[in-house]
Amino acid sequence: MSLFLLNDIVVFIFIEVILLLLLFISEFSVLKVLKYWDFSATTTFQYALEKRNYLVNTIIYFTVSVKIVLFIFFVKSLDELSLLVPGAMCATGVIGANSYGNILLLFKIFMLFLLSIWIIINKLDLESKVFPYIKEKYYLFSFIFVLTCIEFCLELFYFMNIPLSVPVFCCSTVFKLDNLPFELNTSGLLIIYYLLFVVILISSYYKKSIISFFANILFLFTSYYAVTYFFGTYIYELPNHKCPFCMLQKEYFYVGYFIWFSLFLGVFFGISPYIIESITLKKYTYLHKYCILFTTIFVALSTYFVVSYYLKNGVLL
Amino acid sequence: MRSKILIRNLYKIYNEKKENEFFALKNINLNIKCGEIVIIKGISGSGKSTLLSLIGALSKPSSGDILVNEQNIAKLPDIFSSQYRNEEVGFIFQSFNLVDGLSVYDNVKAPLVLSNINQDELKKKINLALEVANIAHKSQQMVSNLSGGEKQRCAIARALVNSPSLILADEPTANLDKNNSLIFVDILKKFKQLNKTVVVATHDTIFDNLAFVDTYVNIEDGAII
Amino acid sequence: MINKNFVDFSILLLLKDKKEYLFSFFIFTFIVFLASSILFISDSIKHDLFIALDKQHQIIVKNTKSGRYTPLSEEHIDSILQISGVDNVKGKVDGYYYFAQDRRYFHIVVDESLDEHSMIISSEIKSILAKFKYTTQFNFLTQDGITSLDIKKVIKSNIISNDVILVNEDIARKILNMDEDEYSYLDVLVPNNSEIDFISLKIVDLYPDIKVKTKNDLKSDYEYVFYYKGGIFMILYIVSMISFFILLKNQISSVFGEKKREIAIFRSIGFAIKDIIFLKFIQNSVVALCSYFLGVFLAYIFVFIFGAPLLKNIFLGHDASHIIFTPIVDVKTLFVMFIFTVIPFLASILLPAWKIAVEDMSEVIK
Ligand SMILES: Nc1ncnc2c1ncn2[C@@H]1O[C@H](COP(=O)(O)OP(=O)(O)O)[C@@H](O)[C@H]1O
Ligand SMILES: [Mg+2]
Repeated sequence: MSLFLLNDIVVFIFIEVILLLLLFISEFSVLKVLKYWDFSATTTFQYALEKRNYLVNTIIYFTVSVKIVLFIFFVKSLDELSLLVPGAMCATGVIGANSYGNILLLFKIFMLFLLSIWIIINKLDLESKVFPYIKEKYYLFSFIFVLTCIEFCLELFYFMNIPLSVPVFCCSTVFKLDNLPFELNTSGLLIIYYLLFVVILISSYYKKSIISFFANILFLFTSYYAVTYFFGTYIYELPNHKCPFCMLQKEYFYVGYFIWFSLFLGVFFGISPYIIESITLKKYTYLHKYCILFTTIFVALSTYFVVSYYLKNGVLL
Repeated sequence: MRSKILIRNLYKIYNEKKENEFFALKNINLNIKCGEIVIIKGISGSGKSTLLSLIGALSKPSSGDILVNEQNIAKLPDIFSSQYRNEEVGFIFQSFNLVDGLSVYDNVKAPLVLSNINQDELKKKINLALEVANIAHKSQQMVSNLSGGEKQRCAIARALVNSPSLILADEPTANLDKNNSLIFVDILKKFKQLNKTVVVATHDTIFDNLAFVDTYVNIEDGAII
Repeated sequence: MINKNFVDFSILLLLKDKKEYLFSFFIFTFIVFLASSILFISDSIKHDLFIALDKQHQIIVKNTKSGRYTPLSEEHIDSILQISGVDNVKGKVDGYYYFAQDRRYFHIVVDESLDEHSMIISSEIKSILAKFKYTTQFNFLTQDGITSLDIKKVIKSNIISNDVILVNEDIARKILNMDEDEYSYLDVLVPNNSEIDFISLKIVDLYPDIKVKTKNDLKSDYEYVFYYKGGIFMILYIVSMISFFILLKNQISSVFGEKKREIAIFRSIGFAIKDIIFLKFIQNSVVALCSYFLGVFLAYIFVFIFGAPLLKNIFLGHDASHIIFTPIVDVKTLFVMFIFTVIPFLASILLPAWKIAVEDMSEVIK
């Protein structure tokens, strides 16, 4: 039972249960609204349904705030666990300790994306006087609710299956250069990386939501590989240290948090306009400027380490 | 003149489709112009308060339209109806409805805390309202220590603080002595000068035959007669 | 964004009704106090263990025979020294002396700086010896008669030093009945950390009976015991916390209920449902934060200044009365505490806050 391995895990699961409970309560309201909603009605029942809207909103705002804190907490706990899990030097080993880890991490990021999109749609809904997107946003909510349940199960499976006796593989074995997809080499990867950056800048500047959407999705994957296999080595200043997680540690001044969060925020603001437009069927270009901002921060930050290394040492790794 | 409040075919049914169904308002049609003072008269239980609460968006009608400044407030979501109450309407209630345990000043401040204005402006607005309602000298008193007349003046200051264009008063003199009631009638005049639209629901005869009142509306069993 | 006037006003209202919030304030402070005390204690113990661990070399070698620990000899030292990568091997004498009068074991540890007539003991041992009138010296019963040692110094009892008596190496052998060339364990110095695992394997190859523990193994062992115990403790704690929260929630609901009319007044002057919920949220956050800081502060005093009476015995058993806790407060622990207590507290007010906010406003008209 490695569930009890760390106080942190117990706390983590406990808070997740509370959130799940709250979401469950809102889901009850959501189903009611989906079933009986009739904006034109002037019955007390309809007005009671409108009031339920505020319960769901409150709970979601609360959930999102807590989930963001928990996400950071989760990543930190993984680092902590690397002291306990044999073979693990950083979060790579811990997250890869069983087959649930990586899925769970992706799931968590995806959930934060979805919740944020929900909040934006909710904001648009509340700005209008006729609740135009209430059904859409509640279908999305139900979807989020189901995913949260799945996420919770994944968390349980993941924590229960962390091996404590068999050594796990860590970053030195997991990330090898020949792991790049499509038989890419580093220079090819970098060309795509900067090319996509330019495409994102242009499409965001001209507010082309659909181009920005696809470019950002590609950029997310490219950046993952680029940071892990190229930029990371300059952060660590070691040619063979390839790891997306070590940079989260104190030795590297927590720079990983800035890198990954600027990437995720940039990608989020890049893809959400298109998703929101396809739900609300209206132009929504307000977020593009944030996409430009965060993506630029991300690219500048990652490039900075290469440039500063070159200036200091006169050579590249 | 432009109409301030336009009410069309307004119904309010309590306990709709139940055994104890009750028609509190039946087919009300009313047109109140900007800057008018309107007195709604009727015996107790005739539906005056119900009508005021609908105009003030405290409750929702069963059918019909209420247009205030040409905007229908009958079906506004809570955020908008609250904003409407906050910015457009000043309430003066029969039982004053002050928050016990707060000073006069803090009671008057309450409607302003929703808007993000700076401290200086906040103070200026509150003090102005206190002056107009003639209660500035008691501003640091706890409201529970005030007399009936003073409580009402505090409530008036609160109603005025956000400079609403519409004042709704429900039985404003029911808890006052003769003297204070007369003071209230004077204040009504002041409202007139300030060009506020005022709707007073009352059964007090003190409001009968006032020269500055534009319209008297008689209501009986939920219908205008 | 967050409106300062609104926050100020919420706090004004909170101060007005502070009596109603007193109950939740105290209950919640108690919850935080308990949880922080537990975490402070376990953090402090862990800290002392790891400090002790840091003083050790990278590999500890012990000998076993039919599953029991037996002494090692010079021969072991010599052959381990042969392994390349090993810088130095030290034989250590260490063991337990049974003090029959009190039916307890004393942990005998070597301190080279002592002479043949003196010893250093922990304050816990001092009090045990005092019970039997040994105040300045103590007589060890050994195979060759009585060995009498003066108490030179008393050190503080922490988790490691609680049952320790420090003596000269020769005296230690005498007390533990070990020969000149016998050692309890070997401390192996390996300068290159990456060779540790490889060298431990080599040692085991040489002597199949030998048990090797690297520093990392030990660390994992400690962590494991601690976290595991801590985790179980947490579960128990959660159960009690949930019952507290149910109590709290009822209390909060009833407090909110009494305020129905006040809420209706606010609604009538323009507060939206979301504003009322936010107002309640701000007020309860203030309560939660104050309780949190007060609870942590009290726990600090309780654990590190008063030595956590009662709780200490739960953690360390009955003979722990002299153990003191090294004051260790780690930001991470405070953060975990925060998540663990404040978030459930705030979660428990969401529903009551919403319920009171959507109440009918027509009350104000009556
Ligand atoms: N919430 C309610 N449920 C049922 N009946 C109500 C409710 N509120 C008011 N009524 C009824 O509606 C009628 C009109 O009430 P009201 O508007 O308060 O009258 P007035 O203010 O003229 O005295 C009264 O007969 C009263 O009993
Ligand atoms: Mg009435």
